[in-house]
Amino acid sequence: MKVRPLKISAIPGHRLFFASLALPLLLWYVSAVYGMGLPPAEAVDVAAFRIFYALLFVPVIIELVASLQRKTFHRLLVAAGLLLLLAQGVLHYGFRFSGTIALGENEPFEGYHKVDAGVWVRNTPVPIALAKVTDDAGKKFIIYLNGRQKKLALNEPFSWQGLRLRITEQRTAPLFFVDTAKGEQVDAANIKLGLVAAERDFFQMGLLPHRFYIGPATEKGTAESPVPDSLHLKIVRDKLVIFDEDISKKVPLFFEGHSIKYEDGTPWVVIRAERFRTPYALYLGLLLVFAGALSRRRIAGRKDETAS
Amino acid sequence: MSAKLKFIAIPFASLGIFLLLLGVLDRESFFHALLRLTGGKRLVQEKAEVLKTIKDYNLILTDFYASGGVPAMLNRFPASKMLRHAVFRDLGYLKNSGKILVYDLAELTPVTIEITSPGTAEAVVFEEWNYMYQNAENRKPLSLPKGMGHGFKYRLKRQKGKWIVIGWDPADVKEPEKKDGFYF
Repeated sequence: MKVRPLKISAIPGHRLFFASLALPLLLWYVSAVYGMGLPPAEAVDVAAFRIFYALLFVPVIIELVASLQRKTFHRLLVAAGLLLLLAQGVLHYGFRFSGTIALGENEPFEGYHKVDAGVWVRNTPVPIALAKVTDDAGKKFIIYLNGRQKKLALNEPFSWQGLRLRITEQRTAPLFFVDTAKGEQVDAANIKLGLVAAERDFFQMGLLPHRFYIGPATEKGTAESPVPDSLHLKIVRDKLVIFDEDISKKVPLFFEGHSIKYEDGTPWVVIRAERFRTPYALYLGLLLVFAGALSRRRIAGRKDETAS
Repeated sequence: MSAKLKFIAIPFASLGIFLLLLGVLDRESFFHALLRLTGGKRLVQEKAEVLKTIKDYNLILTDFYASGGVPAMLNRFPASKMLRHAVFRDLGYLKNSGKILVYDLAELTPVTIEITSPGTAEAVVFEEWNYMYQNAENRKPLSLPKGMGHGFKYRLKRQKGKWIVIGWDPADVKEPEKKDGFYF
C-alpha cells in the first residue's frame, strides 16, 4: 500500500493555535508590566509564560513548511520573519547581560554592583583595577586590564571577553573617620556615596551598631570641590535617631562617646559592562514580515485587477 | 463546533490553561496578580498580615532590650538573620557600656503598605517610642524617660508562608496628629 506523505497544510487551525497561544502571553505581559508594575524581565520569567512562548514555535514552523509545500512566497516570508522574531526573544531572555562596577583608585574588581542577566549567562569577572584618575582633560583614567595598562577617556569603550565596557561616571568618595572620645581610631573608610538610593545609603564603622546615613546637605555650600564642604548626616542606633543635621568637612561631630568627621577622599568610577550583540534576528525578522505583508498586498492588488 | 464558536472558544480555553499553569507552576505570581488586579478582601488581609508582622517585630524587640539581651523569644522574632545579628550587636554595645535600654512602643501608625511583588512587601509607618536607660547591674535609672517619634520604612519577605522583616530604614514621614511629652 502506498503511503502518502502528510501535507503539513492538511493540519488545520495552526493560525488559530498561534493566536490562542499569543493572546494569554500578551494579556499577561500587559497586566504584569503596566497593571502590577513588574519589571519586564520578571513578567516573562514565569514557567507558564515560557511554556506558551516555546509552543508558539510549533504553529510558526507548521506555517513555514506549509508555505514551502504550497510555494506561497508571501506566507513563507511572514513565517520565516516570525520565526526569527521568536528566536530573538529567546536570545534576549537567555543571553542578555549588563552590569555596573564601582571601582576606587587602587581597587581591583571584586564583583558587580548591579547586574541584569539572562538565565544562561554567568557573570563574567573582569580583571580590572583603577590605577589612577589624573588631571588630564582627555584620557584621564589609567586602568589595568588583565595586567595591561590602558589610558581611557570618559565613555571611551573598551572590551573584555565579549563584554563592552566604558567608564560612565567619576565621583569622589569622602574619607570618614570614627574615633573614640579619647582620640583612638575605631575605623576609617572611603565611602562611595550614591551607589544605592539615598534613603538606604548608610554605612557602619568598626563594631559600632550605629548606622551612618549620608546625603546632600540641606543648605548647599558655595565652594566647589569634588567632596562637598557639608553633608547631611543621620546617625541611627536601632530605633533612636541620635543625630540628624548637616556636618562640615573636617569638623568632628561627637556622639555617644565617639566622634565622626570626613575629609576629601579618593576618586572612584562607575563602569558599565554590557554583552551586546547586534540583534540581527530582530532586524531580519521585521524585514521579512514587512516584505511578506507587502508581497501579499501586491498579490491581492493583482487579483483585483484580474477580476475586474 | 461551528467556525465562529471555534474562534471564540479556543482562545478562551487557551487562556484558561495558561491561568491553570500559572496557578500550579507559579503560585506566588498568580496570587500576586490576583491581589494587585482585583484588590479586595485578600489584599486587605495580606496588608493586615504585614502590619501584624511589624508590630510583632517591635514587641519582641522591646523584650530583647528590656531583658538586656535574653534571647527567649528569638524563635518568634520575625526578622532575617542579618537583622537579628544587628539587634544583638546593639545589645552587646549597650552591655559593654554598662547600660540597658528600656523601650516602649507607644503607638504605631501605618502610612503606606504595599505588596510589591509575589512574596515581598514594603511598609512605611510612624512610630512613637518612650525610652530610658538603666544601669545594667542594678537597674537604677540613668536617664529620665524620653519620647521620640520617627518614620520607618520596612522591607518584608514571605518565608515559609510567613512574613519576616528583612530590612528597615528611617523615613521622613510627617508626624500624625498631636501628642506631646510622654506618649501613653
